[in-house]
Amino acid sequence: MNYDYNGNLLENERIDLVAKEIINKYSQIPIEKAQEAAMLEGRISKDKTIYDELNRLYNIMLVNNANKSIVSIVYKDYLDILNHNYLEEDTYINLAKGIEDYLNAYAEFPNISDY
Amino acid sequence: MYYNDLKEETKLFLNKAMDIYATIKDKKIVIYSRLIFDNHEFSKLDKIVLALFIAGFLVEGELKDTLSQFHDLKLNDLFEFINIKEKDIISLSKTEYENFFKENLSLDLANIINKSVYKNSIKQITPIDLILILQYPGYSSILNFFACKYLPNLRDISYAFYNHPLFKSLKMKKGISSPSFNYRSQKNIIPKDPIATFFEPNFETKKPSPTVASKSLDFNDKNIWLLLEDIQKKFIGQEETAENLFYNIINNQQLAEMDDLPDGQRAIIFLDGPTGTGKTAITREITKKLDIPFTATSIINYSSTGYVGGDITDTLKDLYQRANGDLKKAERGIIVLDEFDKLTSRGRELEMKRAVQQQLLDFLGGGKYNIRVGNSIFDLKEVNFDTSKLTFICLGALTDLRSQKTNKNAIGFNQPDSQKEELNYTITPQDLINMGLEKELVGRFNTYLHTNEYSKDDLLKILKESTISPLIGFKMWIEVQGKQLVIDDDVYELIAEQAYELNTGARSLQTIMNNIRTPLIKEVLRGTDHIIHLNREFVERINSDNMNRKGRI
Repeated sequence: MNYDYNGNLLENERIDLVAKEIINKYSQIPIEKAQEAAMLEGRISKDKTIYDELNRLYNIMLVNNANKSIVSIVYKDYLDILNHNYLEEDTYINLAKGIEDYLNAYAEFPNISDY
Repeated sequence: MYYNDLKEETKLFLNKAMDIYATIKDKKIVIYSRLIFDNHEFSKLDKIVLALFIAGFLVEGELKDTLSQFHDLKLNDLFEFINIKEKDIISLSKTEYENFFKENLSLDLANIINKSVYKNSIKQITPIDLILILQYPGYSSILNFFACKYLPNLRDISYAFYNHPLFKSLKMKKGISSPSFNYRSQKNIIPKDPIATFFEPNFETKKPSPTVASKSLDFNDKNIWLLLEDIQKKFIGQEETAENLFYNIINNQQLAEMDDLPDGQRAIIFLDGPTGTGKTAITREITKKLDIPFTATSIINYSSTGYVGGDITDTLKDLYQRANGDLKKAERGIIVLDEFDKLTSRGRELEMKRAVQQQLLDFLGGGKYNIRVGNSIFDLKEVNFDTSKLTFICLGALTDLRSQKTNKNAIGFNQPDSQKEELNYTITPQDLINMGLEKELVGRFNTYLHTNEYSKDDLLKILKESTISPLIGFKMWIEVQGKQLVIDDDVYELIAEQAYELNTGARSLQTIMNNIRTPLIKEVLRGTDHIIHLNREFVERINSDNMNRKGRI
């Protein structure tokens, strides 16, 4: 997914830009949901980190959690990042287990603050 | 929206505005403004803005009282400005207002409100709301012209009207963080009315705001300075740097229009400043407003030919692409070279750093480079790119130098606000040479600017007032969920205080907000309360939890 610098934008411009980046990657996501996910993240005013990427994917899954088919598509990309990067914290790894439980209907969609 | 849908109080106010507008509607009004050093003929929008502005003071007692506290600002001056006297105002009849509103006011009014951060329905807009909205860029120009004529003692003429204590006083009355001045709400929670819906930002087809420069922007047009207002409003605490940078960029663009560019006239800028103070953001915003092709890159990505890494001429290809293949436009672009401070330290990569500096020397000096451009092998072509008209801005965070210059430990964030003035400093070419930059390269820089460290007050202001406050997006999301975020007054101060201690400029606010946001999301989604209350205790607990968590890692 593209992560353009947005540190100078007005908040509504930033939300629109991030929503577009999300929709460019996941065209099946409704604009309103992409905008919601964008509202949940902060500005990108320096090089993006792995945590920025994981956080964006988590937010996309969070706001779309009523639609498991979208969550499962995004979750694959989330796992891909986990598989190819070393993370100092295990929050996002544990979160993956929570999302998997949700996809298998064992649990509700996980909240990141529980990890 | 129809006239009959307006609340009675709003009707009274807008009726008076319509009376004033009807009085001046067909009059040709021309004033000389020292802001543009030229005559200015009032547009329809100018007249509407002034009619709304003056009407507020005529119908709202609170406004009248506030105005009476300021001896330099008189209602009569406003009437004189529009070439009428109060007794000249005609009164439309009750039956006329409805049509007049529909034909003359409704669309402009909806547009004014829609471009602002006002979130309540137009139907119940109050005079104070509207007068505060009229500060926003695009509608303020005519008020600034007024301020320049009648309030000559205001310090900064490009920002004149907002600096008047009247606005500060009104904001205090209104409470800057009151719900009606939070960011524009999402469409599913804003009260529906046809005009508001008509102007609702459309995700796919949203047009740029009128203050954003068009492609045919004329750099010699005096009105271009009005764009600076928008930029300064956005970057609280960095207004002077933004102005200086804006001036230098405009100057370079004007020079670029000359066939024979005088040697050494073009500004090559070195911009120093602590992390998170907006060096890149201000530069990007100026280029966005001026529609100048722009590329930013970290100098550590590049190396001299023969070493591992990219080639600095890659930035030229990037500019060419951003100018959509318009070579002339690309040659006037802006190249930002970030992390310039990394070239100053002496270390084991010294030889490579010297080689990069040598390449930069030619690059900044203005040479011609053949670059290969094109989207595929079928349309590859070679173009001769002249860098002599480019604007170069080299960014650096010269922490050690700043500490020496200001004679402070660290980078000064731990100093009390009262000492902020003492943190002003000037970088000299010799400083950069002493830090390890090649003398010849330093000789290319002819403009030295720096962004200021943020004080606690600056951070508080950014959090509460700035259009780029990290609170805005989250508040919007909570509203989309049909809930409301209520923040105790002392919470703002606590967040600013914590951010100040984190010492990474405006980014600190983002970090603190990220920490707070995570647990609040759960409360919004799972909790049953309609009001999400953010109090001091909660923020302190979150901060302490995060500190403990970091301690464990």
